[in-house]
Amino acid sequence: MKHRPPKLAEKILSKLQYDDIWKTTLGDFEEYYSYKVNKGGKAAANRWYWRQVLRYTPSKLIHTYYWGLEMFKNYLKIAYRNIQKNKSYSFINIFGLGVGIASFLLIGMYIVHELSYDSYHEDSDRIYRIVREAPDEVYLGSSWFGVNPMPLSIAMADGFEGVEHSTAFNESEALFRVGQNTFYEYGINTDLEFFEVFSINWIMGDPASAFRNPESIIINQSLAAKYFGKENPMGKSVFFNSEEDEPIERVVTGLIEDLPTNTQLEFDFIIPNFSKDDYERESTYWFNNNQYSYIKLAPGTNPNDLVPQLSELINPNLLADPYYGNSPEKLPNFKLMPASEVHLSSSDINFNPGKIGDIKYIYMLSVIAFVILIIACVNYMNLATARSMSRAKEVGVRKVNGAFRSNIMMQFSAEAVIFSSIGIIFAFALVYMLLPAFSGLVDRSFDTSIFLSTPFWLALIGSGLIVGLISGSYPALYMSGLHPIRIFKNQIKGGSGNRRLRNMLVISQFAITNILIVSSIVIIKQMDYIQSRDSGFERDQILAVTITDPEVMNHYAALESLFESQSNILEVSSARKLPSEIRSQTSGVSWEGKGEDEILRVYHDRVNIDYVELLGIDLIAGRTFNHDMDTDTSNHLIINKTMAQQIEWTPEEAVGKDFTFWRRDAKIIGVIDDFNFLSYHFSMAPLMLRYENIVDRAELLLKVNPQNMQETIAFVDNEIKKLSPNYPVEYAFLDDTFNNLYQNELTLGKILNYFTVLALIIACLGLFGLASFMMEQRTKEIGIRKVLGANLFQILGLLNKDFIRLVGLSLIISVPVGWYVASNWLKDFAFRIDLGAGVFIFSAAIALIIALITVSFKSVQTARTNPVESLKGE
Amino acid sequence: MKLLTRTEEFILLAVWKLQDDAYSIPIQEKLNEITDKDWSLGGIYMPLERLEKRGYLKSTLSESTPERGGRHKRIYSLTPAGKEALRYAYEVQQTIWSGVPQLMFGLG
Repeated sequence: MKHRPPKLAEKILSKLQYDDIWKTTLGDFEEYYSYKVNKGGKAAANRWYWRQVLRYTPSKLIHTYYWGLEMFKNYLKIAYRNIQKNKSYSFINIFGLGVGIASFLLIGMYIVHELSYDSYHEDSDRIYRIVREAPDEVYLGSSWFGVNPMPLSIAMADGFEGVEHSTAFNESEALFRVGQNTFYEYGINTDLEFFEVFSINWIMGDPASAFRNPESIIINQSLAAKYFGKENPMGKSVFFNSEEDEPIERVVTGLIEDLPTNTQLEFDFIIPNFSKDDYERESTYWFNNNQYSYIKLAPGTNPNDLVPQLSELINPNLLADPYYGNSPEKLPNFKLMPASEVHLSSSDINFNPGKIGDIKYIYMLSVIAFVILIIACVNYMNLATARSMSRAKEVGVRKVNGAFRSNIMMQFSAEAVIFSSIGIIFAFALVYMLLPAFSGLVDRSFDTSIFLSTPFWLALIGSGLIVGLISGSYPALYMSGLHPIRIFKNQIKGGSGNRRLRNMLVISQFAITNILIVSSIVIIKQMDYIQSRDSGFERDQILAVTITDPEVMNHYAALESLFESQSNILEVSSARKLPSEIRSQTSGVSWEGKGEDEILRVYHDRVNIDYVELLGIDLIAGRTFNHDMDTDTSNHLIINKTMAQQIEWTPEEAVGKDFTFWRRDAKIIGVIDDFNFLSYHFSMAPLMLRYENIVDRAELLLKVNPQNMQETIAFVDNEIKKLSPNYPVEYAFLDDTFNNLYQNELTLGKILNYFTVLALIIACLGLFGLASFMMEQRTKEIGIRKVLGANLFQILGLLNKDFIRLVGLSLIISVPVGWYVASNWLKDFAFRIDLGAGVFIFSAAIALIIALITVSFKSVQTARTNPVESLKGE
Repeated sequence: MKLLTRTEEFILLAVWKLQDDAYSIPIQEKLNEITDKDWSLGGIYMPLERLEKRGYLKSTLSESTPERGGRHKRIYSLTPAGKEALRYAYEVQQTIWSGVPQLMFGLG
């Protein structure tokens, strides 16, 4: 009778097979097992069989690991010798891999940070922001708004199905005064529910008691330190003066931790919104959209199910007003946006709390991070296979001595991983050194605490390993596929078999690099264009002083004549807003002949005498606000050309026309040329400037002499301080505030520039390495050519030709992609550069010249070698 | 010529006696039979391998059989050198035992 040994045991034993004898041994065991069963019973036989497993396993393990380790030691030794032997080659690889990994980590850190916004709140997956589409409103190119009426949030907080908590908050800016310390501070006013929706860490106090008294204020640690130093801030009072309310003394009733950097919430203090003067009206009035509304859903609620209920809640209230009642198509639509997505997905939404990023830039940066890593990997592959000649004999000897293909693959993969491991160390050093600079570049605060975090190390080591394996994959496949006989018969020429692939790798490397160069140039040119283009108003040497104390504006006339008498102050005017920051828009305008359904959205600002002159805006028709006019007649308007055009007036017709805004009668006295009060992302829009004595807050505009700037500022500061000793005075230059509009683009441009240079350096290093090896193989050929009379330039041409052809081809490939990427980016600008051939020719020239210089380093050396040197070995 | 160990001698003899059936299991059985002891399989693999390396044995793979789970047997046979080694061992045995009185063991 036939007996089979236990399956598992048999399986293990069969795995242990390490030589020929084993094949029959296993048969022996099975036969003996049958014999044992017949003799001593199944249990004894099984015991015996298992004993065999135990006996043979250790020896097999030792065999495998011992010899595996021995081989690995050998790989290490060979890799070490190769690194030593070819120092420049090793440097290129390690440098390339290190820089690649470091770039990847830095960009990765930034991306992870950007993606982490507001995911730290408890139940962050249930926190949503309500955004509203107003079909009849278009503001800055979008009809989506992040602000809603306060009663909406109040109604939802009150047992609304599917909603656990609902809060509304709004930004508050206020002048703080504690003793002699006076500063403007930024905070929010909100309700108690705020603390249920968002996770705020309390150091002292708690929400309920902090909000018991309307005259209370919650401050964060930074403010506590700023105003109270090390003292306990609780119960201390702060003189609190905000624009919209009567100044009051507030008592500190809570101390909270500073918010982390990755949140859309940006505030230093919180005040109860019911303490505000207009709370009564605000909390019941459905037509004032000024609150950020956030809700925390009940677990298991689908946010989409809530949207119709939102409309049901708000529509009856809105329809009561004829504005909506007569045209229900103007009713708003709602969308719930996860709080964790607000930071990156709000670029098309008007009014957002905190800094808004752009998911597009995240994608772009991710691509750049990977591209640089890939370029570094490609370098390694290229150089490793180009050197296959010098390693082929080694592979041949290993194979003849019994190495399997898998052993050779293992060896070359291990070698690449060794290189990338050294690269990791280099990358860490780079990241460590560059972290502060990078933080400044992307305007985020990364500090060295990141080096203590596990994910950082996982990413560092993980990326190093993956890069090593990818880099080693092709060399491993290629080298292990070499046939020993062909190796020893010298039938393998220096990497001849894989030349096609290597060329493709070089082409793709340079194509990618060139796309980066094109993108950088386009951004640089566009930014240059933004700064140099005539925006229709002068920005140079214009000092803007932000006035917040009404007292100053009460003495405006005196101040104006004082400043104008100074030789260093050329002109003086003022406005409610800076000329590049006019954002107030109204459709409450009408004129004679306006159509029934005609809607005109007009941006508007209040300005003072000499505004147009100071900013150098061209007057097309009529006159400006100047000292000649009768200052008693307020409600004089100046409109811009676009506005006249949209009303279908010629500038001349417009002058003298009656015009009504907010049911106030006014007269158009002048038409000015368009100027870019919106950023260059937007095309020209209608603008209306009203003359009005500005009594509260204002921007004082001073055209100053570039000489003696310091003294002028000191003088202005002194004069304003005389009038308002308790208010801080803030200065800015108009060109700086103008550039602030393009912060995102400037940042992207800077990042892109740096990483383009890095990519170019890595790609050139690779090209240099490759050129070196290719030329070493041609030294004899060059020697013979020189002996036969070729001159230096002929040889240089010969040597450089191949590489230039490759780079040239890559440039051609890169043009359509580069064009697509660049024109897509430019699309966001209404005012933009033409994407002409110039950009591509310029970038191609850069790439070609750099490639040529790189290759020439080596080719000149090769071409100048004395033929006696290169040929004496024959 | 190097002298065989006792185990090697037994194994070579077993292989010779078993002829066409000389593979590990019957060899083991034969040794059990001769010496009246339990030999482990491992105990005979090593000498078999050593003897083959020294050229006293050669082995061929035979057809597979069902009771072995379809696996091959390794059949051993003596080489001329193996026979020579056995003959030498026998001679040494003869020489060393000659003159020892048979009565010493009471076998007379």
